[in-house]
Amino acid sequence: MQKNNSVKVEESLLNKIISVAYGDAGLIDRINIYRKARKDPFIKQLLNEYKKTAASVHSIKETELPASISSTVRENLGKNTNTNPVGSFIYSWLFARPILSTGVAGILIIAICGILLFHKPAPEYTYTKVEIELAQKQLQESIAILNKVFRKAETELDTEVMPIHVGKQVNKSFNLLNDLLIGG
Amino acid sequence: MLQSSKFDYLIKQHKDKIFNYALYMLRNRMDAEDVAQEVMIRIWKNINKFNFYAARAWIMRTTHNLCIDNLRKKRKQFGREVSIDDNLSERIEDHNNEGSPEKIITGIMLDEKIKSTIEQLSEIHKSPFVLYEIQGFKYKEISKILDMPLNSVKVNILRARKQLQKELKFYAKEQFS
Repeated sequence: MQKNNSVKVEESLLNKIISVAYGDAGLIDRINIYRKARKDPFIKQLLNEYKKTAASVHSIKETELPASISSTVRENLGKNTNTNPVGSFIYSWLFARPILSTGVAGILIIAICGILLFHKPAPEYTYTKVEIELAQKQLQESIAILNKVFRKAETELDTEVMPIHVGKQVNKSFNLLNDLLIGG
Repeated sequence: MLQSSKFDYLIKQHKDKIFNYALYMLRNRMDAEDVAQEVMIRIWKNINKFNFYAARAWIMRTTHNLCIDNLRKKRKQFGREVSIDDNLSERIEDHNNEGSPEKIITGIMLDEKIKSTIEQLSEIHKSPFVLYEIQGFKYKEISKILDMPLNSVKVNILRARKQLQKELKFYAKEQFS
């Protein structure tokens, strides 16, 4: 049965199934194959088998080269057996980084340097002696004006408001009360 | 100073890739180590000659050529072929957190089978397959490394995938029958 099915699967379709399983097919192919796999159990089985193999292949870890080999090469070349991590880092940073990340890092560094160099906090203003004296004089004047206003108000209250406007009315009301009480 | 830093950087980046590729191609650890050493020496000798951005392709092309030379010599000598895998215990430790001993052993056996099946592929299929699937190179880079037309790279990878599947299916049938 499977043999018949495998004959049925066209070469181009099989190639697409394999591409999808290994993850390098285009979006349209992927959608087509998944749709066909949903309808046809044989295609589904085929896709799953290839997917399983692809996953196994992709999970293969690289075997590390024994450190002794690179040390031997260094010795043979007359180099120090220890690598220079700082030099290697600087080199990788200067020459080997992808352009985009280097650009972003460069912009950040420029921005930080710019802030450090050009951003100065606003200077604290120090007043001169003349300014301080002038301010004191103005303060005294304004207090004197206020004092004058309050004194004027006080005398007005004592001489005009209390005896004439308030006292008169109070007397009038007491007289009215007396008349009422005596009269009652 | 700059030369040395460039060399250190390149070795750090590519030494495992060189070794792995040689290991798959030559199926022999000692030969792969020899090739890796030779490639490193050539990197040092040519450190000022190649463009840094093309270094990856240059290094892998050199590795590939050395592997081919080595295979030719070996074919003449009927040489010293031994199994690659003498780090089985390390890999059992790697798989130790993956469940029952039976599962671990089955997993390792499948890994082994996949590795050995890849190793047994023909050179023309194996080279692009290893570079693409295991080492993560792009089609264009592989085309440059192997000096092979882009279409041939794609076709050979596809054939390798089919061959691998066929072999594994056969293996599975043998295991479970």
